[in-house]
Amino acid sequence: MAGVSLSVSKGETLCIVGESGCGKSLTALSIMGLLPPALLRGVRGEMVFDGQMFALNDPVALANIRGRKIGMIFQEPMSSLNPAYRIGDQIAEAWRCHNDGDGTDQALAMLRKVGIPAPEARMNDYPHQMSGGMRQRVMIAMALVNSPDLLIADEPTTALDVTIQAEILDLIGDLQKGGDMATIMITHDLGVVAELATKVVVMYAGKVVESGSAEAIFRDPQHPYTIGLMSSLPSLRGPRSRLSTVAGMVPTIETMPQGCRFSTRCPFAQSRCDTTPVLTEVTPDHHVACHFAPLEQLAGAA
Amino acid sequence: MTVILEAQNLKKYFPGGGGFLRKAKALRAIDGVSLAVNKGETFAIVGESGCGKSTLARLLMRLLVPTAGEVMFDGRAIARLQGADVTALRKDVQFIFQDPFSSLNPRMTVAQLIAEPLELHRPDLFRADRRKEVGRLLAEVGLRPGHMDRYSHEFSGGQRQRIGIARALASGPRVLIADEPVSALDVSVQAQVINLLGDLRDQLGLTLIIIAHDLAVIRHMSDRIAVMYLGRVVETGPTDEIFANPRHPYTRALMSAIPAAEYGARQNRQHLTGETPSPLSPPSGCTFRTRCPHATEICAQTQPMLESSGQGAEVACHHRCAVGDDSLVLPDSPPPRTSGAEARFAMYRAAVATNQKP
Repeated sequence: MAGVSLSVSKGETLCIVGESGCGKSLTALSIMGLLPPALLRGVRGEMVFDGQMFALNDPVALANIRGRKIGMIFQEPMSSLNPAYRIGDQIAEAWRCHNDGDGTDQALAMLRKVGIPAPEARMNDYPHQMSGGMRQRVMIAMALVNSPDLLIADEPTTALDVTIQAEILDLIGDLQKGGDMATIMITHDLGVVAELATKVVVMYAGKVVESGSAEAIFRDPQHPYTIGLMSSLPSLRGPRSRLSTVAGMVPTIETMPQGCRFSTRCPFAQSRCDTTPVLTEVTPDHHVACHFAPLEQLAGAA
Repeated sequence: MTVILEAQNLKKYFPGGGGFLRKAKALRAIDGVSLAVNKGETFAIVGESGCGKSTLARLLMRLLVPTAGEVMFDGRAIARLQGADVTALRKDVQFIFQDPFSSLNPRMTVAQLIAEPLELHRPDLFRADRRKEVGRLLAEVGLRPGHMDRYSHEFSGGQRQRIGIARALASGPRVLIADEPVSALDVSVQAQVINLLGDLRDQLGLTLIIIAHDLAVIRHMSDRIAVMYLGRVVETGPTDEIFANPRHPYTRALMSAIPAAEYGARQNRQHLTGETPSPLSPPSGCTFRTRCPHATEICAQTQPMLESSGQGAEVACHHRCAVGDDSLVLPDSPPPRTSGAEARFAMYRAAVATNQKP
């Protein structure tokens, strides 16, 4: 990962989009201070949270705000819940870590809030007694029990069926509505992004290639990678034409090209792409890292 | 159109539940499925986890033996074949697996992996010819023949899926059954594999049976679909018809639940309550009634049968007329892209198309 900067304001939903290995989960983990020590040594950077500065290679300071001010939801609810404890106790534990009291009431209130039927009885269930969608609801309850200012969700619906995914997306949207909580959502699914995001960051091979408001990204995408991603999606309406793909695959660390990291797969790449493009502003608040933006002017030149 | 593969009232029950001194119940994975796949078409089976779609695929190619019912391939009953007959069937019906990481033996090179089905199904080939054939198959799925002595871990997910496809093609099959062939892949790679499967079908005259949960992928690839819920087909018909006029409440809920990758598209979401019931004790009558917003008394009493709903589609619902007349299910069209963006998309398509034809 190299030189990633992001910002999210109160009440906003920032979606980080990208394919496997583009560094989106790494970004989230480093914000949470959850990187394993071996990786932590390579981290440089800082985070300004609520006006306070945190160095991202200082796990102790980050642990203090983690869970209290920043909540996190992971992809696999089964492996992130402890199978040996009742879910009520697990949610209460998240409360006890940062507050006085045993947290049982708060846990119960949260379970009700995330739409679990008969929460009093469900408090005493073990994770294996619940379905995937229910477990994800429990995870959300756990992340939100301390009313954090920032919620980080790493592929929260990838492991779920579509009808359950729709319920969870609605739930996240509802919980956020009217509050000040900011959300950072990490996903590879552009459908989820279109549904929830107010701001979008597109990442490729450890770099931000495009960022802007959701409307700008979907209606006026600039970077060839964003365009390629959108072209490779089969559509639900209109004629079924052959899909335009992004040729090749993501380069590995050893084969990472000089300059623009997308140049090996970009249909427009030229010799100029050997130098690294910087994120430049196209319209206010819409940035893209491509030498040729806006691309349609290339047609005139070529 | 001739029917190449047909399921006739297929049932597959697994023993489930039970325990010490407790009688095991029957898990009704497939509970009376009939369908016919025509030669040369792409048939898709859609449904959520636990609806029995993978079990159905395995029954169709005699990886499992059904509890009741029959599978006909090319006019021959194949559901209870044994021994050499199964091997002969495999020559004609092949399978592509979901996970390209666990379905390839890591201790074999690509050449060995692809030569394995060749040795079995075409024993007359000499070693050198076999190697030549492996090279041809690799080229066919878009991999470099020069890479045939590498091991599967040296390839990415998409390339591994191509190796899996090459293996399936080795015996020269007529029917290819693919269980979630692209769901483990990234979007851009997924599109490559979708295109490849479409090309192969056209070039080799294959019949494809695709199992998937992603409706956009299904719409793109298939000619006809069957929607499954709890071991039964609830709706089937031509893809365009089902997408334009979904009639079963489950199909409608499924379609409205897909988050469309379109900003500003208004969702007409139809909410489902609850979760799929256990196939160990499915509800009486219509199995969907516990989650259905339209359920009435009759749904609990009699099981609805598949009946024609016009335009070649069939649906199993007591209330399909009342249900079918609602407003649109798919999200409304999004606001159009800017003209600059449209120009960029057109350029991208053109550039990719020229790059693909060397």
